[in-house]
Amino acid sequence: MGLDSKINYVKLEKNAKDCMRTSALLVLLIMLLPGTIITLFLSDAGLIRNIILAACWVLSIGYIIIVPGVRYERYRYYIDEEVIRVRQGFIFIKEEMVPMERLHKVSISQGPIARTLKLSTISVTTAGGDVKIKLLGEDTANQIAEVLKKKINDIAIMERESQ
Amino acid sequence: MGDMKLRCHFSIIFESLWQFWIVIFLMFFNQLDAIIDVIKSIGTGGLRGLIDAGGLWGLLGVTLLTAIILTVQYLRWRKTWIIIEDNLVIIERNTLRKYKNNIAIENISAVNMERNLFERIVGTYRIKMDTSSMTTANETDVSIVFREDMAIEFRRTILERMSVLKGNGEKTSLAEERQPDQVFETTAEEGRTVFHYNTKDMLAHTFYSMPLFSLIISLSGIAASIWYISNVGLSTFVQETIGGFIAVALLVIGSMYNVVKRFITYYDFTVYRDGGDLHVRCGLIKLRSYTIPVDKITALEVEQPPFARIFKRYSVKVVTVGIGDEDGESSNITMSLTKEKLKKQFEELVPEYQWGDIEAIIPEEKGGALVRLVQSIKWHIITIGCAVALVLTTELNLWIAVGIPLFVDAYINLLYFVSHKTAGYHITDKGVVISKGYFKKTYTICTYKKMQILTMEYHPLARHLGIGSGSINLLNDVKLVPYINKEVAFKISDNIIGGTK
Repeated sequence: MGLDSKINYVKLEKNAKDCMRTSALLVLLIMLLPGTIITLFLSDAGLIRNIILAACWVLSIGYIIIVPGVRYERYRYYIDEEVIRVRQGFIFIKEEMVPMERLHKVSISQGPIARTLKLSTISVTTAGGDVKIKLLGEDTANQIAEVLKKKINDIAIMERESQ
Repeated sequence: MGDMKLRCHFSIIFESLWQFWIVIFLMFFNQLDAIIDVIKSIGTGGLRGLIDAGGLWGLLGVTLLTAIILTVQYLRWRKTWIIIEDNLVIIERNTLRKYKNNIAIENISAVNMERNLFERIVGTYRIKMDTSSMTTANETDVSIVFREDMAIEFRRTILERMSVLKGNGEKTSLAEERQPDQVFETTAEEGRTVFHYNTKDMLAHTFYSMPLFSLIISLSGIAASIWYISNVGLSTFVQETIGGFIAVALLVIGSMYNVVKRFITYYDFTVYRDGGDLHVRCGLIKLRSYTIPVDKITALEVEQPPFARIFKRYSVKVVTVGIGDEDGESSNITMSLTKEKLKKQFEELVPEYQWGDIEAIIPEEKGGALVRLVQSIKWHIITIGCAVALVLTTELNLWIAVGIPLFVDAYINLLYFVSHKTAGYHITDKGVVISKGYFKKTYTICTYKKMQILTMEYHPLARHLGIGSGSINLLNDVKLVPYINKEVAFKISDNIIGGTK
């Protein structure tokens, strides 16, 4: 839904889903494991405690299975001569649009998980904020960054000449 | 106009001392009993008594601290230079921490002049310069104090160089500038339209722009105090509930000040357009004079606080980097006006934004109300939870335990309802007009050229209805977009791309 009916959005590569899933898994493990250990050692054994703990683990596993998959399916980006568009979300869908002419800066970054999966994130900065195109393949990210850098240079030259 | 190398006026050394003296005064006030004892000891034991009571050490400490602060401020003043060199303003400080700030004149978005009571007495002006930089968008980039004639000369030089860099040449009107008070009169004599608001207009504006909550707090505080005093008598009230009395008094004074400060801030409000700049002057205690280059305006905001909505009055503010950054700073270019007067002033002051017709606003999509209704469900659940918790865990009266959460829930729902009623939009080829607010309605007029990023968000129900809400990132602000049809969102994004060409 959204604006996609008129735009040929590009989907992320398959390993982006693995990255999303691994990140979600790590975050939940970091939160859930210490919580579970503390609860098991510090509180009295009982049916309600065990049910709550089991529910937390079932919900977390469900989250890891469903959410990254849906997020991956919904994540799309589109770049042409004039505009960058990014669409993402799980329940709420967010669409961001940045005109090329507003770009000031392009940067590439890699988190530890993304690095192992050879994925990069591009940040495009305007005078009013920035937009990220997440989890692109390394080669694709480098190509896009090069194109955008050239575009920023061209715009700067055009502005200088018009002055 | 040649280059300049100046120092701030030496009064800046003493101006920065008053904050220190306020702290000392508060400390003294806190230790009033001890100080009275010290003074008594002078009477009974002379200097020996003063030393024994520890008063002399306190006095010496304060004197020493004052001397240290004065020395530091003196060195800072002595070693700080403000230089205008070609197209640069350089602030150079050679104290222990060496510092050199180079500002390109072409990046300066505002050169404002203001003076507080102290500056009026010593005959100086404070010049505040702001750049278009986002990193310093929430603070004034340069704040310096000069003797009146030097301040005028400095500002004139900067404005002339800005004008030359923009390709407008040097402006003759600025060359005649002597001080902000006089330039407006000179301008009026030259036949330009100068909009001046007299005391009656200012009182009307104070009324129309009165914040509803401040008024409610002031009135209820006064009413409650009168009722209580009439029941128990003034002396009993003061003796028995002194803490409560002070708290209520402070609350009422604070709220009343909130109401009155508009009159003080905007007193004698005067505005005119000169070429590509708007010149504004206002203030009763602190006189402010600021110049807004129209090409640096990112959006206009037409505001209608609750009373202005009832009486159909409008006031206009500019959204721009550099003006209205700090507490107490305003960015108004008009006071409260009728619709007819608003149109006339728009025509004279900002004809570039005449396309932004606030009457052409259409209400947000009806589905927006439905989405808000669904969004409010979470508050109903929280309300039920709170009511149940209050009933089960407290000994409150059942009506109160249920009534308070219900009242809060009803208020939140009222906010949802009024936000839907105020939300609207008008799309043109040049830009968009967006209205939003709760009790205060704000129309934002913004050209596509100033829009940086468009973000649309689709709630599941909104997606089903084919509508979405979002935001527009401007240079120094984010404006919310009401629920609009996704085709309209697409049109806006197309126009933003078109607006870049």
